[in-house]
Amino acid sequence: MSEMMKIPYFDKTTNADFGSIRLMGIDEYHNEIYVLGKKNLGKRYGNILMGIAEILGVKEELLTVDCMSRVNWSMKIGGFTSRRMGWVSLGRPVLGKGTEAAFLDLVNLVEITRMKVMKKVQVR
Amino acid sequence: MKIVFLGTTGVQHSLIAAHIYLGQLGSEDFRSLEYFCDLSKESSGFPIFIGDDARGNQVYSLGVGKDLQMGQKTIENLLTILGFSSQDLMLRPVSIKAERLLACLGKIPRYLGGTKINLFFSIIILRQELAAIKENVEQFCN
Repeated sequence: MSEMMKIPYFDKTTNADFGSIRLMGIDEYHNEIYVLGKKNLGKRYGNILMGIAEILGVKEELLTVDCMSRVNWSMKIGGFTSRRMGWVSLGRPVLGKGTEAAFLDLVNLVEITRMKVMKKVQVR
Repeated sequence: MKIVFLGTTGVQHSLIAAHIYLGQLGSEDFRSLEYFCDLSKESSGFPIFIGDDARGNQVYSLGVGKDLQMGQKTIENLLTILGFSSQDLMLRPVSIKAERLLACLGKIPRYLGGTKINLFFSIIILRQELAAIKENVEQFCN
């Protein structure tokens, strides 16, 4: 858990952070990697971003990845309890367990995304 | 420049606002507006092109879900990241009292008659809110 807590923003966001696109780093292909909390607005939110990029003529410069398909119930409940309700000591361990359980699924999503980056196709 | 009218949905009040802005709203029969209460269009999440204004700007309508402020913030962040500014794409949020109710109407399943219920009540609500929508557009024009 202490290792997870070293990740920037991990279980540290506030309500005001939702909707903010935050830089996480730069990958080996020199792409900028960002994270975005979108509450429970679903896959549609990715399409909104792609749509904006499309009308600006820069669709190829953006790739959205919906991580919610890899988030399990423990992560949802733990995250909600810690962040929304403010019960950190109760929610964080549940979130930690859930994240451990989902880790390989998240790694799989990252690997798929790496391949998609090469093809520059939106992950759905 | 692109002008995007933002609402909780893109096929109701923001769509009407875009048509008012373009001077295309002839009557209160909103059913004649293309994509009005079109839930499949709404669920796609993509901006809906409405038309070009007198200055050659492209006008769109877009629904960003129940948290309008969050949607606006995200798009503004995205513009900055992609190297654009409000000179390239201008966001105009259209907020009315019944916006959450309108969003809820769109959630009624089709097998329960959701499409007809949504259309029927949306027209009633939006006729009552038309003055507020016009006010939103006038503020933008001034």
